[in-house]
Amino acid sequence: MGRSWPARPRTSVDSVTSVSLVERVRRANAPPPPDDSVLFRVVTMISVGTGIIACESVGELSAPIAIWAFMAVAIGMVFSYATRTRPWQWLKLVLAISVIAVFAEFVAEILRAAHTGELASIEVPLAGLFTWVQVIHAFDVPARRDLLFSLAAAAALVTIAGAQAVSSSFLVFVAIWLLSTLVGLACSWRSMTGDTRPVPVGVLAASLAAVVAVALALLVVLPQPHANQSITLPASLTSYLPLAGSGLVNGTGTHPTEPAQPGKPGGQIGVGGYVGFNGPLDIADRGSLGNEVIMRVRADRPGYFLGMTYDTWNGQSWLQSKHDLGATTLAGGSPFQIPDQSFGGQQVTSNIQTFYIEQPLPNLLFATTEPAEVYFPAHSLIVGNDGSIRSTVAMTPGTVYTVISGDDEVSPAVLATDRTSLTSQQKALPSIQAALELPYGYPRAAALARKIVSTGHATTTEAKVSALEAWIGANTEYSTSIPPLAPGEDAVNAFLFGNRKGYCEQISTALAVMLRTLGIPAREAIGYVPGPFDPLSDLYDIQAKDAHAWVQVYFPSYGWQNFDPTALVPLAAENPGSVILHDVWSRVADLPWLPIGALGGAGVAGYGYLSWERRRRRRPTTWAGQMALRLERLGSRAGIGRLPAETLAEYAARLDQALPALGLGHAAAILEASAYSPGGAPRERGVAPAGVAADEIAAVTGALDRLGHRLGHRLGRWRPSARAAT
Amino acid sequence: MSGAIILLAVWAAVAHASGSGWVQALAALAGGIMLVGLLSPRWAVRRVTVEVVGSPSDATSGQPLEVSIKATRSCRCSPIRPKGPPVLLRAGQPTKLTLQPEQRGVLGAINVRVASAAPLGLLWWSTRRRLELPRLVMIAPARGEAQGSFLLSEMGETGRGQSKLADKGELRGARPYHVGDSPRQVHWPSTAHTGSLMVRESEIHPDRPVRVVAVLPEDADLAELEASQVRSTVAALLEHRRQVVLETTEAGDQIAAVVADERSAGRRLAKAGRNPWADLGPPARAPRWTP
Repeated sequence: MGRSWPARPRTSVDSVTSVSLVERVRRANAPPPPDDSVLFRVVTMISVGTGIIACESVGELSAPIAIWAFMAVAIGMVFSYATRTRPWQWLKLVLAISVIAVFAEFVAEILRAAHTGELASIEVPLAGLFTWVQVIHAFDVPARRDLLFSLAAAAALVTIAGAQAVSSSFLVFVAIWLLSTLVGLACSWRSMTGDTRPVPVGVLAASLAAVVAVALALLVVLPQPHANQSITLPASLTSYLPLAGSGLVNGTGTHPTEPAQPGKPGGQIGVGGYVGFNGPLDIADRGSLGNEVIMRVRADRPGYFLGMTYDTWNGQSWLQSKHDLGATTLAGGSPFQIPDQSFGGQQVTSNIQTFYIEQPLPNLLFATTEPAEVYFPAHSLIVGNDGSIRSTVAMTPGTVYTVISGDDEVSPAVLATDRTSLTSQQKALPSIQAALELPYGYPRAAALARKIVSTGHATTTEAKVSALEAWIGANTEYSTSIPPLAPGEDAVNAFLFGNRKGYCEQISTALAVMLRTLGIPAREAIGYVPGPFDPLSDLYDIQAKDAHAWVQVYFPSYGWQNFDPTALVPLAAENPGSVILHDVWSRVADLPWLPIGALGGAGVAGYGYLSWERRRRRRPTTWAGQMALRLERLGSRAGIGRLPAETLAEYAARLDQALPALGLGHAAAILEASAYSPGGAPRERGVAPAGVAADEIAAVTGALDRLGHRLGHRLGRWRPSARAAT
Repeated sequence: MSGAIILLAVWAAVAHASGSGWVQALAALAGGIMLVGLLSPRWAVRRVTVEVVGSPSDATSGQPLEVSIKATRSCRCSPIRPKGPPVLLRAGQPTKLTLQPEQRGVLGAINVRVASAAPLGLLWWSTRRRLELPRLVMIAPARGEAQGSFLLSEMGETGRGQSKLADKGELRGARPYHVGDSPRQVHWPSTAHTGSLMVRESEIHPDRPVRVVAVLPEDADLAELEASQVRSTVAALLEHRRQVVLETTEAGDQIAAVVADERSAGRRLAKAGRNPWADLGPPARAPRWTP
């Protein structure tokens, strides 16, 4: 007898486990099940929109295109949702052709830019490509996997924008993107399981916390990113506004559209209130510097970013040197080669610095020591004899330029060995002559300088500078709260022989003048020190208060070298209370009071309304309740309060004992009967309900009136209507 | 997962080279999303509890068996033993799980693979679970080829009637040999006793119960085949209204009892011999990620 397995019906298991290749291909290309989650689509749209707006915020997309793209994505999402169960097949073909066209345009744009040498960054074409792809794709997102693609592309868009972001405000986009992406992924999981319930907030919060924790850990572990600036050297202008004149720094402005306005004395005008970067630098002025970021700098090494120097001192102000009029004009366009002014110092690797201008600035290009090459999109630049670089176009917010400096600072040890004296040829140089001039002899300052130098047995220039710096550091104090200079008073004498308090301008000027009395050429340098470093943008945020003044000393063998005496000066021991008060006051004053006031007013109004509404709701609505409340109030005034567990009748009985012959017990009985009778609800507020007779109403009101008269009180402002319902 | 790690590494490298801290921060956040999305399902799948809340008491080998299962969290459940198509379970919602038992036996638990990609749906992690059934399911063997056709062919529609002489059946006595009798029927003891050729004479008693002995071999496939044949035989006998005594070996004990209907026979055969569903492994195993 032959043995064989009994025949079994074909089941779904078989269909899963043994399918042909054709069937597999057919299934792979079958349209996926449509996704019905509205929330998933909304958060995906938010994520995509965040990427688009982020690209617009960093200038990778124009505002009209960004707005148009955002609206198109929204319309596409709605269309996709409406047609998710029956997608238009012919539309897929149109969209596919559109995507190919967009990609072809992207490639063509890249090739064009590469051919003309204008391809400084790939981000802008990429942002355009991803934006267009998102717009096209938004019209065909019926299923979950399509929405996931949109989420991934949104991440790419935000990343492209992040590559150009230099501000901390980009955090807003990152936060919105992160939240929308997490909610979108959670919706995706829900959609996968067919769960239609809303995404639990607890799970989302836990996921968000975990993601942020992991991201922070990764940021700590990963090495700090540092731009390879040799690849691209950014330089761009937001607007080309040529400046009239010779390119000198001019505080008044030479054209109505010229935004190059240096600070004004006594107020936060111009460059954060700094009075420098102008024709004269008046040491008598007391400017107030703000915290606003005026520019951001990406630099290989932080340093003193020199703006300009002054070599003419008149006792109160530093003035631009007359010999500066013979500045060199560099033409030919970017990059500009700066004439070599170095003296063969210890040149280290070049320092590439890219400046991102955030506030209108004077037409100065800042740089560390010995700028050699400048990438700036203007037709010409002007290099002063002091080495300062000046633009011939306005430095508007959004301007970007790159400077490569030699940074050939000579170490103090090397300078200490320099015993060479000024040659007659060097002494004949106008810049050296100007750096030695004094308006008068400064006998006290000169005597002090000689005494310090002799006491310190300083024979070399470096030793003399160091001795003077040390004395200033030991005998003066740093303070921005110094009294104004009296008219005609010399700023250096006031500082050295007065209260010896001052800030960088007084301190550096005192050093420069003392050096000049010793026959050492010195001049005042102003610029910026690096502000706080932002690791997210790899930029130093230079604030208005980072404006600084220091001294440049001429060494016959090494040229002008920087010395900062302020670094050694301790802070003045001011009254801690006044410092704290001043700090608190400045912070309070900086608060945005208009929106705070509006919010506060709205809050007070809202609280008032809620309180009124709460009181209104607590007020009894029935006639019996209102009468009972009145009875309680009158009883309380009589010193007999109602106990919490006491019924109205029990309370009235107690009142009757204390205040007999008022009919309070009878009134309470009427009120209880009215309150708990079927027709107890009033027809209108304060009107006795049907079922309460007129004499009963009169009995109640009479009893309350009598009680009020007994207590010497009149009935209150509100008196319930005694109209009986008929 | 390896692809995601490579993608993140490339992203981090680009971020590092570009010098943009925001790109690095975004890469770190993307890494956080990936890490949470890739690893948190492991935790989620460990926390999910799946139980069988309803099952039938009888099933047939090769026929779909539906049980009702419920999970505390949304997950995917794929039957491993018995096999079956995967189903997606919503949290707290009973769902039908179709099993396809290919062998008879007594099913007290099932093996499933519980998978979850919660909460971000980026990667599935799964764990193997043994789910106890709320009641034992007797999986009867599928119907096979009925045996004892000679017996059935002698029965009428009702299967009842007078005893009939037949070549086979119970021994009734001996009679003299006639031409045409089969030599195999020769009863040699009585031939020797009478001195003439005698043959056996048998008869069939329709009203007596038929004893069906199920001897299931150790080999699972052969046992399945044998059981299916026994079931068909019993079913055929029952269809002819014959009383059947089924003799099986259950848990080492020989049990012979009348079976009233085919379902009873199926249950008896499910319990007969070695139970192929006895060993379903440990209650749970460590989760692992599923590509």
